[in-house]
Amino acid sequence: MIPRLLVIDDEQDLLLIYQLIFEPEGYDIRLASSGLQVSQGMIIEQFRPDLIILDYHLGRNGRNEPLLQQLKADPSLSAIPLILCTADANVLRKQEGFLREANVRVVLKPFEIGALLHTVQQALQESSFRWLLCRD
Amino acid sequence: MHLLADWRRPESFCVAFPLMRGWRMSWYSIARLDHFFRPVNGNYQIHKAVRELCVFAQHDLLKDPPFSRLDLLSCQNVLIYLGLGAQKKVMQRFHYALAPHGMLLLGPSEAIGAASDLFAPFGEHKRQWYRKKASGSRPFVGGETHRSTSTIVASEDENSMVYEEKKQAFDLQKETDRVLARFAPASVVIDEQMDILHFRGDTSPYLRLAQGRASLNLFKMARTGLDLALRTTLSKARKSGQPVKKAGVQVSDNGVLRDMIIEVIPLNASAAERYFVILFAEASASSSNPATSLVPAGSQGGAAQQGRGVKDRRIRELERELETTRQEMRRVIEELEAANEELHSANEESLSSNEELQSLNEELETSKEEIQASNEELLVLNAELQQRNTQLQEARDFAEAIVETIREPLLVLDADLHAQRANRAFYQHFQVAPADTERRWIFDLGNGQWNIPALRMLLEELLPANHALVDYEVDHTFPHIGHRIMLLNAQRIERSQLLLLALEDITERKQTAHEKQQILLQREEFMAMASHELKTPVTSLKGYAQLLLSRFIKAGDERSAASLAKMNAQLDKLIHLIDELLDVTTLEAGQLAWHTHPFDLNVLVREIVEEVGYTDEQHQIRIEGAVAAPVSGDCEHTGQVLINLLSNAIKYSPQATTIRVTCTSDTDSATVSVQDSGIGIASEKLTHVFERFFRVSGPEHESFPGLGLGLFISAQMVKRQGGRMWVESQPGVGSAFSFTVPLAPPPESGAQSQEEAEQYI
Repeated sequence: MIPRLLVIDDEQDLLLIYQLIFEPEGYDIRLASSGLQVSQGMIIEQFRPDLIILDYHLGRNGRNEPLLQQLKADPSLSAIPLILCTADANVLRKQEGFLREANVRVVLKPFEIGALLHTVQQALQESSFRWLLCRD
Repeated sequence: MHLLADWRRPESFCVAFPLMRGWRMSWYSIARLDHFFRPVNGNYQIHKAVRELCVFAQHDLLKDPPFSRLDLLSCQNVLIYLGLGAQKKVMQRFHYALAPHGMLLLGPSEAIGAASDLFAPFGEHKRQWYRKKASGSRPFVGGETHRSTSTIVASEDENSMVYEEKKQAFDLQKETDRVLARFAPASVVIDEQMDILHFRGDTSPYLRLAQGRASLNLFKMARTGLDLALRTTLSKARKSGQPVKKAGVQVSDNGVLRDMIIEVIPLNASAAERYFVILFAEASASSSNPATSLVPAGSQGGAAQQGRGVKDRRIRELERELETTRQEMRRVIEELEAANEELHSANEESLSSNEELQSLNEELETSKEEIQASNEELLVLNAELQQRNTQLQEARDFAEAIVETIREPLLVLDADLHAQRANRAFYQHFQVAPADTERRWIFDLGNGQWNIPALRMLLEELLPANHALVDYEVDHTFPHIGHRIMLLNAQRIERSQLLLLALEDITERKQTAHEKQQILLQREEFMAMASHELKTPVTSLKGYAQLLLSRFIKAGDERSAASLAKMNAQLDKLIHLIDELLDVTTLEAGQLAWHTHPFDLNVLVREIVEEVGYTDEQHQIRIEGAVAAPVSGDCEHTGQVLINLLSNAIKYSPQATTIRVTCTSDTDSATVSVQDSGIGIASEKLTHVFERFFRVSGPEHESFPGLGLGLFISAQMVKRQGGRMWVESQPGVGSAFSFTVPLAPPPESGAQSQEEAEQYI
């Protein structure tokens, strides 16, 4: 089963890099620009990703907390593992409590590709293990 | 009873016993007034019975025959109008007029004068006298007998008749005396003053009139050689009160030596009055007569015998005289001795009193010295007080000058919060005049501009409870100077009950600080955005570099792979620099996220050393020792500090192969030291290494890049979690950077540390 990966970022170059990283590793990856927030819900509905990578500092308007909270608040989506990818370590630390509670993993930009892949694999394994437990 | 009054002026009789004036009556007691007087119209009139007792008669003292046998004679202010002769005469008449022991009353200015032989004082006052017994020497009638007799005889008065009879009786006695005097020895009567009162018989062989002032004094009149014998005999008689006879008194009379006998017979007239009768007798007259009569009757050849007899007698006489003289001598010596003894004792007394005086004097001297000493002490004390006063004044001036000089407004309040005074800065700053400030209630000052609830609370409630208040902030809009933030410092002076209130206007400072904070926040925001913006392309760069690197490795192009690896390392450095800059601005803006948790420092040290060890193959990092207990702090930032120190150690010891990390702990903190054996730091630069942007400069340091922010950030972080950081270094030997982390409190306070998690610095 090919894991489905949704990457939301506002930087086209970076989205391409994600594609270059994950496609050779055999992931079904879907890229979304953070500028189109309305369509994100639809993409998630249609694509049903196994994991979402979200650039926390989305767009110039700053914090993308509403999206994060929306994802976590929706019972059908909250089970999907989430990885925050951000350059802003200090802002991230401020949200540490919430992130830990919501079981959100963090990858600091600029990232080492190996470390990113490792985090994604870990999250997927944990998620599928939990899914199996739920199904039984 | 008869009362008799006399007055020199006849006309005074008609006014005798008028109505007595009230003021005169105050002399008498009430009882006496009631007895003798009766009141008439506020005055007093004498009782009729008393008045009828009185006989008034006009009488000339000097011319008229005197009254007699009076019990009391009052003579007030009469003698003062009389001459000395008349006075004497009047005295004699008084003496006559009074009955024996009758009283004579004299006025205060009058004296008895020479008539002391007639009157003796009664009592201590020399105003009452009693009549002495009549001495025969001066019969009253004297030269006036004839006249008075004729007058009296001419009168038909009964009293005059009696007088006549007396006179005749007197003559008879006198005659008798005269006859008897021929048989009696010559004698004199003397009083105690040794004045002769009476002569009897022929006293010329014994007495003679002395030269000079006329005197009847016995001793003055005694012939030579007799006075001594008289004195001794008289004194004996006076002492014993018995008649004393003294024989063998020799008196030379015109060259003839005569032997005499003196006999003194005291007469005690009364207790106070004594007289002496002195009898003189010729001893030789009685003894020599028989002798001379015997001689012719004796033997014929008795010339020699007679001579011998005369001689023997002479010898006997002489012996007797010698004996007498010896006795005299003995007595005189005894008297002398007694007098001597008295003198001696008096001398001793005076000596002892002298000594007493001396000791008193010494005591006085001592007291004087003491007073002198106390005086000096007082002087010293005074000088000291003066000095203190001067010091006090100086201190006061000094304090005043300080108060006036300081730029901060200062207000002195009394216990009732009334302004005592304010300094110049206060008047300038709040734009008020001294007249509107002093002695007024603080909340009334400047139209009630100080009537601030917070200040009222501070002054009326907080300050009485506390002794002083430090840095109490008051935010208020003043009428003249607008919105101000004041920093109040108050101090109560217990002794004088005064209150010092310093008002520091910190509005500008606050504003500046606020602006600075705003700037820092803006800068942090900018830096955060800038770093994000920088990191976005760097992330892409790094991503592509890594993709290319893996692709070159797969293709076996090692040279390109090596270049890309270098590029990747340079990108890491760039990222590190951006992170450092961001950390500094975040720190300074107080926005650094901080999570304090208990954690195991040993584990952290091991992880970090491992992590750093991957990137550096030249140095071997050795961990020595361990921390005994969990520490409390931000695990991530502590790791960051350790990474920083290890990176520096690696960077500044390019020649060395080992780095030592030492962990120790004591009762309240853990210490981590990172020691290298690198180039070291000069001692004068050691204190600056933790400053922002400080880089150790020198020829050997130029090859090491960096912004100089790492140690600053590390030190700030260590400080933030309650630790400290220091360095020990020696150029050419190496450096040891150490920092402490406080040990975690007991586990039950873990919940509290969770709450702290959202703090920023």
